[in-house]
Amino acid sequence: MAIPSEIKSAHNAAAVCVDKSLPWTIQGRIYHCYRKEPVNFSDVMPILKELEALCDGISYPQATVRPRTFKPKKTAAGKQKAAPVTEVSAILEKRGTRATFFVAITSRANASWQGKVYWAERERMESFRSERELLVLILQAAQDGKEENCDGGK
Amino acid sequence: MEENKKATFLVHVTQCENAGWQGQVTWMDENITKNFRSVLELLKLMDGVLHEEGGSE
Repeated sequence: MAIPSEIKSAHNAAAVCVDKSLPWTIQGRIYHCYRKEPVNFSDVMPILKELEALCDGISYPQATVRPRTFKPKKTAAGKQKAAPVTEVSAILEKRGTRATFFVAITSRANASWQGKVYWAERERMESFRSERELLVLILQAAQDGKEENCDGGK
Repeated sequence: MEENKKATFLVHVTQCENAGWQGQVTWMDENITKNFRSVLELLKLMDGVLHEEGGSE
Protein backbone atom coordinates (compact mmCIF):
# COMPACT_ATOMS: atom_id res chain seq x y z
CA MET A 1 0.00 0.00 0.00
CA ALA A 2 1.60 3.25 -1.08
CA ILE A 3 1.23 6.26 1.17
CA PRO A 4 -2.50 7.04 0.98
CA SER A 5 -3.71 10.18 -0.72
CA GLU A 6 -5.34 11.36 2.53
CA ILE A 7 -1.83 11.70 3.97
CA LYS A 8 -0.11 12.98 0.81
CA SER A 9 -2.64 15.74 0.30
CA ALA A 10 -2.72 16.90 3.93
CA HIS A 11 -0.72 20.11 4.22
CA ASN A 12 -0.65 19.64 7.97
CA ALA A 13 0.77 16.12 7.65
CA ALA A 14 3.45 15.38 10.22
CA ALA A 15 6.04 12.61 10.40
CA VAL A 16 6.46 11.14 13.88
CA CYS A 17 9.80 9.34 13.61
CA VAL A 18 10.29 7.01 16.56
CA ASP A 19 13.94 6.25 17.29
CA LYS A 20 13.54 4.58 20.66
CA SER A 21 10.67 3.00 22.55
CA LEU A 22 10.50 2.59 26.30
CA PRO A 23 7.68 1.31 28.50
CA TRP A 24 4.75 3.57 27.63
CA THR A 25 6.85 6.30 26.09
CA ILE A 26 8.81 6.94 22.91
CA GLN A 27 11.65 9.16 21.77
CA GLY A 28 12.28 10.58 18.35
CA ARG A 29 11.64 13.51 16.04
CA ILE A 30 8.66 15.26 14.49
CA TYR A 31 8.78 16.81 11.03
CA HIS A 32 6.17 18.92 9.29
CA CYS A 33 6.02 21.49 6.50
CA TYR A 34 6.05 24.52 8.76
CA ARG A 35 9.42 23.96 10.41
CA LYS A 36 12.81 23.56 8.76
CA GLU A 37 14.27 21.59 11.65
CA PRO A 38 12.66 18.63 13.43
CA VAL A 39 11.33 18.86 16.96
CA ASN A 40 12.94 16.27 19.19
CA PHE A 41 10.78 14.51 21.75
CA SER A 42 11.65 12.24 24.66
CA ASP A 43 8.07 11.70 25.78
CA VAL A 44 4.59 12.00 24.31
CA MET A 45 3.83 15.48 25.67
CA PRO A 46 5.97 17.32 23.07
CA ILE A 47 4.15 15.41 20.34
CA LEU A 48 0.82 16.74 21.55
CA LYS A 49 2.17 20.26 22.00
CA GLU A 50 3.85 20.43 18.60
CA LEU A 51 0.93 19.03 16.61
CA GLU A 52 -1.53 21.28 18.44
CA ALA A 53 0.72 24.28 17.82
CA LEU A 54 0.93 23.27 14.15
CA CYS A 55 -2.86 23.21 13.79
CA ASP A 56 -3.21 26.50 15.69
CA GLY A 57 -0.44 28.10 13.64
CA ILE A 58 -2.08 27.41 10.29
CA SER A 59 -5.63 27.60 11.63
CA TYR A 60 -6.36 24.17 10.19
CA PRO A 61 -8.34 22.31 11.15
CA GLN A 62 -10.23 24.92 13.13
CA ALA A 63 -10.92 23.76 16.66
CA THR A 64 -14.62 23.63 17.46
CA VAL A 65 -14.03 24.73 21.06
CA ARG A 66 -11.41 26.81 22.82
CA PRO A 67 -9.35 24.91 25.39
CA ARG A 68 -9.93 25.62 29.05
CA THR A 69 -7.11 26.93 31.23
CA PHE A 70 -6.35 27.56 34.88
CA LYS A 71 -4.64 30.83 33.93
CA PRO A 72 -6.67 32.74 31.33
CA LYS A 73 -5.00 35.53 29.45
CA LYS A 74 -5.97 37.73 26.50
CA THR A 75 -5.17 36.13 23.18
CA ALA A 76 -3.28 38.18 20.62
CA ALA A 77 -5.68 39.36 17.94
CA GLY A 78 -4.82 39.04 14.27
CA LYS A 79 -2.08 36.48 14.70
CA GLN A 80 -0.35 35.84 11.37
CA LYS A 81 -0.75 32.41 9.82
CA ALA A 82 2.39 30.30 9.55
CA ALA A 83 3.74 29.69 6.06
CA PRO A 84 5.12 26.35 4.83
CA VAL A 85 8.88 26.08 4.50
CA THR A 86 9.00 22.71 2.79
CA GLU A 87 6.88 20.35 0.70
CA VAL A 88 4.82 17.47 2.08
CA SER A 89 6.78 15.10 -0.15
CA ALA A 90 9.96 15.90 1.78
CA ILE A 91 8.21 15.10 5.06
CA LEU A 92 7.03 11.75 3.74
CA GLU A 93 10.64 10.70 3.12
CA LYS A 94 11.59 10.92 6.79
CA ARG A 95 12.03 7.69 8.74
CA GLY A 96 12.51 6.73 12.35
CA THR A 97 14.99 4.13 13.55
CA ARG A 98 12.25 2.15 15.25
CA ALA A 99 9.06 3.20 13.45
CA THR A 100 7.55 5.99 11.38
CA PHE A 101 4.03 7.36 11.55
CA PHE A 102 2.52 9.97 9.26
CA VAL A 103 -0.28 11.81 10.98
CA ALA A 104 -2.96 13.91 9.31
CA ILE A 105 -5.36 15.68 11.67
CA THR A 106 -8.55 16.32 9.73
CA SER A 107 -10.79 17.76 12.44
CA ARG A 108 -10.60 19.05 16.00
CA ALA A 109 -13.96 18.35 17.62
CA ASN A 110 -14.67 17.69 21.30
CA ALA A 111 -11.47 19.50 22.35
CA SER A 112 -9.68 16.60 20.68
CA TRP A 113 -8.23 15.43 17.37
CA GLN A 114 -9.61 13.21 14.66
CA GLY A 115 -7.78 12.04 11.57
CA LYS A 116 -5.63 9.36 9.97
CA VAL A 117 -2.32 7.82 10.92
CA TYR A 118 -0.19 5.77 8.53
CA TRP A 119 2.41 3.31 9.82
CA ALA A 120 5.04 3.43 7.13
CA GLU A 121 6.92 0.21 7.91
CA ARG A 122 3.76 -1.91 7.88
CA GLU A 123 1.97 0.14 5.20
CA ARG A 124 -1.15 0.34 7.30
CA MET A 125 -3.48 3.23 7.92
CA GLU A 126 -5.88 3.70 10.80
CA SER A 127 -8.37 6.39 11.74
CA PHE A 128 -8.28 7.90 15.18
CA ARG A 129 -11.15 9.56 17.04
CA SER A 130 -9.07 11.27 19.73
CA GLU A 131 -5.47 12.21 20.52
CA ARG A 132 -5.54 9.50 23.15
CA GLU A 133 -6.45 6.92 20.52
CA LEU A 134 -3.66 8.23 18.28
CA LEU A 135 -1.08 7.91 21.06
CA VAL A 136 -2.23 4.41 21.98
CA LEU A 137 -1.95 3.33 18.34
CA ILE A 138 1.54 4.77 18.02
CA LEU A 139 2.80 3.49 21.38
CA GLN A 140 1.51 -0.02 20.86
CA ALA A 141 2.86 -0.19 17.32
CA ALA A 142 6.26 1.16 18.32
CA GLN A 143 6.66 -1.05 21.36
CA ASP A 144 5.09 -4.30 20.29
CA GLY A 145 5.89 -4.07 16.64
CA LYS A 146 2.34 -5.01 15.91
CA GLU A 147 -0.95 -3.18 15.93
CA GLU A 148 -3.74 -3.86 18.33
CA ASN A 149 -7.24 -2.57 18.18
CA CYS A 150 -7.66 0.43 20.40
CA ASP A 151 -10.75 0.44 22.50
CA GLY A 152 -10.89 4.13 23.22
CA GLY A 153 -13.85 3.91 25.50
CA LYS A 154 -17.59 3.85 24.95
CA MET B 1 -0.52 11.60 48.77
CA GLU B 2 2.98 12.67 47.87
CA GLU B 3 3.07 16.19 46.43
CA ASN B 4 4.89 17.15 43.27
CA LYS B 5 7.45 19.89 43.78
CA LYS B 6 5.92 22.19 41.14
CA ALA B 7 2.18 21.53 41.35
CA THR B 8 -0.34 19.01 42.52
CA PHE B 9 -3.42 18.00 40.59
CA LEU B 10 -6.32 15.76 41.45
CA VAL B 11 -7.86 14.16 38.37
CA HIS B 12 -11.33 12.62 38.39
CA VAL B 13 -12.30 10.85 35.18
CA THR B 14 -16.09 10.74 35.06
CA GLN B 15 -16.71 9.63 31.48
CA CYS B 16 -14.99 7.85 28.59
CA GLU B 17 -16.77 9.23 25.53
CA ASN B 18 -15.44 9.97 22.03
CA ALA B 19 -12.51 7.58 22.53
CA GLY B 20 -11.20 9.86 25.24
CA TRP B 21 -11.62 10.96 28.83
CA GLN B 22 -13.84 13.61 30.38
CA GLY B 23 -13.91 14.75 33.96
CA GLN B 24 -12.60 17.29 36.42
CA VAL B 25 -9.10 18.32 37.40
CA THR B 26 -8.36 20.25 40.56
CA TRP B 27 -5.23 22.35 40.93
CA MET B 28 -4.71 21.57 44.60
CA ASP B 29 -2.29 24.43 45.32
CA GLU B 30 -4.90 27.04 44.35
CA ASN B 31 -8.02 24.93 44.97
CA ILE B 32 -9.36 25.57 41.45
CA THR B 33 -11.34 22.93 39.61
CA LYS B 34 -11.87 22.81 35.86
CA ASN B 35 -13.74 20.39 33.63
CA PHE B 36 -11.85 18.72 30.81
CA ARG B 37 -13.33 17.23 27.65
CA SER B 38 -10.32 15.27 26.41
CA VAL B 39 -6.89 14.03 27.44
CA LEU B 40 -5.44 16.85 25.36
CA GLU B 41 -7.40 19.45 27.29
CA LEU B 42 -6.41 17.83 30.60
CA LEU B 43 -2.71 17.95 29.70
CA LYS B 44 -3.00 21.54 28.46
CA LEU B 45 -4.65 22.56 31.72
CA MET B 46 -1.82 21.05 33.73
CA ASP B 47 0.90 22.23 31.36
CA GLY B 48 -0.47 25.76 31.52
CA VAL B 49 0.18 25.80 35.25
CA LEU B 50 3.63 24.20 35.04
CA HIS B 51 4.92 26.42 32.27
CA GLU B 52 3.25 29.67 33.31
CA GLU B 53 1.34 29.79 30.04
CA GLY B 54 -2.31 30.58 29.75
CA GLY B 55 -4.78 30.73 26.95
CA SER B 56 -8.20 32.09 26.24
CA GLU B 57 -11.27 30.49 27.67
